[in-house]
Amino acid sequence: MKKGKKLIALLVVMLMCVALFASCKGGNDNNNNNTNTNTDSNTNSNSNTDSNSNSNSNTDSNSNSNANNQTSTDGGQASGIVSARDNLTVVVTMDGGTLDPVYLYTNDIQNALGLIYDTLWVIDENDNIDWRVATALDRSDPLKWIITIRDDVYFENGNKLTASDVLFSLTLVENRRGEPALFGNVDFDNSRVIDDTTIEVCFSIYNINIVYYFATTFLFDEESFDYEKVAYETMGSGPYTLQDYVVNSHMILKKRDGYWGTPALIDTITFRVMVEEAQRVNALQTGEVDISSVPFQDIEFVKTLPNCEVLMTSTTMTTSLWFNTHPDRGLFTNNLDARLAVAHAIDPQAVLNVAFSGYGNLGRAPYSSAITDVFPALLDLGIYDHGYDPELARSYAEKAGLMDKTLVLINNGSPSNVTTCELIHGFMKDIGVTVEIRSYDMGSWLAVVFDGSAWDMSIDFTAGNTVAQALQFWWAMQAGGDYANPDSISTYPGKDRYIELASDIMSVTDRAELDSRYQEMTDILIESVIYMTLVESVGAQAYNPNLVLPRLMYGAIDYKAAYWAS
Amino acid sequence: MIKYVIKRLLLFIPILLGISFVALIFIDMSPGDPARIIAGIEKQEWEVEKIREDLGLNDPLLIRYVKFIYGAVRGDFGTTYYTKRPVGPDMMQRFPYTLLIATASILLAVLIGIPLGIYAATHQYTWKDNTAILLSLIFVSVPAFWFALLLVQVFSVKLGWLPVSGIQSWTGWVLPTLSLALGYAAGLARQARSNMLEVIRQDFITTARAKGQSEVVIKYRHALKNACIPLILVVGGMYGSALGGALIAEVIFSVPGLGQYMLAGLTGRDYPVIQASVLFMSVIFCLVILLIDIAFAFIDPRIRSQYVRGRKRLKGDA
Amino acid sequence: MFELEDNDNILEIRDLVVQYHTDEAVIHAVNGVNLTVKKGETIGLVGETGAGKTTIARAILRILQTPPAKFCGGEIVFKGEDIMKKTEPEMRKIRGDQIAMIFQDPMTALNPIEKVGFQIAEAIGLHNNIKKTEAERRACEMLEMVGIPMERYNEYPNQFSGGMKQRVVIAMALACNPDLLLADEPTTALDVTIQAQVLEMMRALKDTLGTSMVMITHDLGVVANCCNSVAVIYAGEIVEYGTAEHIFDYAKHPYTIGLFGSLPKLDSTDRRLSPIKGLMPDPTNLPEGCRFHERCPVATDKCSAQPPSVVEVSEGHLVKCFLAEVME
Repeated sequence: MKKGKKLIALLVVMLMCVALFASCKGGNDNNNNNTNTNTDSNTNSNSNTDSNSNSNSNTDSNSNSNANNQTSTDGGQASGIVSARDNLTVVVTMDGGTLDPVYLYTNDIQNALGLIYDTLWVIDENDNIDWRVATALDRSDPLKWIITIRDDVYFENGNKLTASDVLFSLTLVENRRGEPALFGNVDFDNSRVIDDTTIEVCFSIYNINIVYYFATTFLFDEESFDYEKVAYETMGSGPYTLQDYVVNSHMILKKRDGYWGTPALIDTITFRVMVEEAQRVNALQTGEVDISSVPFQDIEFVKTLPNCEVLMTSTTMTTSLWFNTHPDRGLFTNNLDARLAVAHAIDPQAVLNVAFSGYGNLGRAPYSSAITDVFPALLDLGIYDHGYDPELARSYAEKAGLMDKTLVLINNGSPSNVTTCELIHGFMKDIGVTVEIRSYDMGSWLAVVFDGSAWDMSIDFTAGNTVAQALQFWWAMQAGGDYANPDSISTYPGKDRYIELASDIMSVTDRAELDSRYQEMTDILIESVIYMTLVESVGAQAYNPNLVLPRLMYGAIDYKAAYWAS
Repeated sequence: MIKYVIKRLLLFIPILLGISFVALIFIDMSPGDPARIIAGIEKQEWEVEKIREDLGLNDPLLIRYVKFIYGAVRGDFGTTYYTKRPVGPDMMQRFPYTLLIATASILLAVLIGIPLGIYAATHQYTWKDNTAILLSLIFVSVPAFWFALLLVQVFSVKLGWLPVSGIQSWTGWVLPTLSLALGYAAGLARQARSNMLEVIRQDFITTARAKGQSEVVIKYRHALKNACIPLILVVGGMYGSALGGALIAEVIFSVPGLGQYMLAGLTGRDYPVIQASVLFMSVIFCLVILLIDIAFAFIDPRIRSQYVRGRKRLKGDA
Repeated sequence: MFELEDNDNILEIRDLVVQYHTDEAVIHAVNGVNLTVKKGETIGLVGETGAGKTTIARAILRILQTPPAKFCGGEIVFKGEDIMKKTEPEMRKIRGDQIAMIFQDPMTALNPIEKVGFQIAEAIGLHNNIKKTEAERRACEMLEMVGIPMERYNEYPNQFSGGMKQRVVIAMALACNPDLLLADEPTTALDVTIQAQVLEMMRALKDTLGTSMVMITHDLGVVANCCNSVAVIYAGEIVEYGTAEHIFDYAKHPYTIGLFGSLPKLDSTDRRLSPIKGLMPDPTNLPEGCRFHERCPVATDKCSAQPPSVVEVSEGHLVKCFLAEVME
């Protein structure tokens, strides 16, 4: 073949491939007429969206849970017909490789385990205790709690769940994790079982987060517990039992009899692991899964699918920009103007729109405004009130001497963080300052961020159950891991006072005292612009519209309460 | 022959030692501290130090290496840093999946690629050959990742014939295998074609023609056999590469194989996992190469005759 | 096929023209060759590399690659029948059975992954409807005939030296007792001492089996050793033809003379060789007139203007040169 003909042939074949791919994407509009691969009776799902009584779940999640406020029972039955459909398939984004709650570090599997094991209680959106195995908690003495539990809870093997099982489960975490801080405040030597349904837990120091930790501590059967088998076998008292578990592939849960509470309404729940984001969207599209998290950039597309609704879930996570004021570095050390320059140069709305596809909220405080004990006086102060101002930023930058410097901006490699860095790079370029982006992976980022001489700014996540936790978290970050060494701590105005307030903030019992500390510490952070919350994160879950999801728990769907409407 | 095999097996030892040592050095040199990753960002330095002590990370490199080898020889690969699950059994549980994907892909690649290459070579200068070359070039160049997602779009989303991911049913194995196989098939096709073209131009083919042999027999017996024998070595190398390359298919299609295990270990700087996986993969790879070499020695008569008969050429024969 | 009498021509080539057509140019490989081979005769085809000898041989067997190669004229008559008109299946019957060919490089002429005995037996089996064991038996006979012990039937080519490989090739070629053997430089790749052995063997076989042979070579020593007649080829044409005596003792064409003149002599005190000046002309761009005139020491103007015709200088001695006319 002559060369010219070869070239044409090449172009033709490439065009064919591209066209094939493009037509595949475009062909989704025809999905209305496609039968999806479900073999159940769900093939009429396309026409059901209007009759769905749950159409209000698209909006802000808070309204959803308030509308169906269950207090002392779980698995509540809202009005709606339970359909013949008896299984549910849910996507899990990562599998930690173990069912041992102590070593678990992925939320999705934890949610699944929450269907197998029980906890003492859960904390609802309004920060109230929602009883489970426990029926009462006497906290009149903050260092000595009396917990009362039900006496009709049984494990799968028939053993009754007693107070000693509860105490055992609490000590389990402490003994095996080997990290003193998690339950370090619990004084296990003096804690004891009073009777079969009463436990007395003693604390060496009060910690405001303990009630949250207990809410996520699974209860084990002391008699049959095996330290090794717990990684792949379960013995729980919850509504479901584990039928099959293949690491990195799937988990199958089956409803069990003998559960003390309201029985679950779905027979079998399958959790499928899908690490690859694009595949989750594909699986939603084909209908192979009923519930899945959705990456932000695909939310609009998923909304157009007839067999999907999208639910936004709230989190207490934020994406923040953190300045390195460590004495070893210098650019931002003792240089408030420099920090103000950067703070005013960034438009968080742009970050929200580009890096998060517009889903989320703008930062309003040095922590997420969705944290339950936030009060209005803490919000919209300082930089969070009058942020984006490029002219002001430029003047600060000149004053601070940033114009001929290069700022090193690091991140941990996750896509939204990388995009945020690129945006910041652009903003700084607009005011004439050079930024060098260094993207690492999580492991390397952790190593770099604790080296105070290696970076100027970093993008970070924060989270917390309480404002206290968030504030203490920032202290931990600044210390670079070494509270004892004063030279290792970053410098900024008010640092000493902040450390003083932070060092025991977790054990403050008086609410008024706590709120006043919150105020003072927040003010210090905002004044010093030691870091800046850019975006408050939300989550997005897509689900089959025939599902009724009356309740969310910790920002995630509570499968115990879910059921199919026909 | 036995001597040769024994010699090769003995060579495994320095090779594996070398590989695992180099792997350890690389991991150690790269930034990221497993103790800090386990502890998280909030913990203080002394707590992290305690974890480091517990994990034995403060020992000098050589000691850690020797401990690892000592354990490996006895079949004990330690436990992961994160979940404290024993590494050895976990690896063995995951390995069959990777093995299955790699083997199935290579088999498919051989079944598709070699006939395609031979067909192209015997129809040289026609549009069939040129199309085959083009297709091979495209599939060799296309990244497996993109191609896998393309396959999902076509076969799962648009046509609905196969599941999107997961290997709970046998249909879930088709796409991962296919996405890997086509790249290797293309490579084999190019190789087979080039071998065939070269062989057809050799003198002995002309001799066969001069003997009055038919073109069909010449092509599909004389030429084909000569062209395919070197391909065995190529397939061996590809198999080793497929064991590693299965990772892509595993991640995209949620196959619970060794690749994902290794990847998670790498991301989290889980040294026992990384070291054990590297060692394990190396052993498998060395075995595969050895088997291929032995098979090759048996199949290629030129080599076989030297080993099996044991009769050397007489000097002075003319 | 009618029977031949002893003096009949087994092969007659008339005005053969073969060209190679490539994308770039047309190569004039064979430009009007006339040749006859009598039964039992050995004719030597002498010429430099690139003269067209191999093309002629392959044309006889019709194993030229016909996309680039093209027959543009002439006839090849074998045992009274025109080769060019035969179908491919008919040709396959002839190849190996009635006309056989031996190739130049023994190292690559054999299939490296088949046993040598099998390769001989394959040739036998193709042309005789006999059982496999019978073909093997005959192959063993052939091996013995070329001096290879038949125990070596199951060995592979890489276990043989160059000389022995060539013997195998010869055995393969003669296995079906062909009427005509085309030997394309069969000893060029061998050492001189082995050369002698192989040639001797070939001559013995030829005499025993009564095979006619076309011996293609550029080595005049080989020609002297075994050829009855000689044809000298230059640029795709036969420039001189005659018996060995004619060519060696009474060469008339300037090219032939030059060939003999360029041979080194043991008893000469000359310090330098005297080659023919210049190179073989470019086959895509052959000169006008006599193809040799550019290199010819005695060329005249006439030589560059028209091609010379053939002159019979003495009985059976043909020369294609104007000067040959004159010298008579």
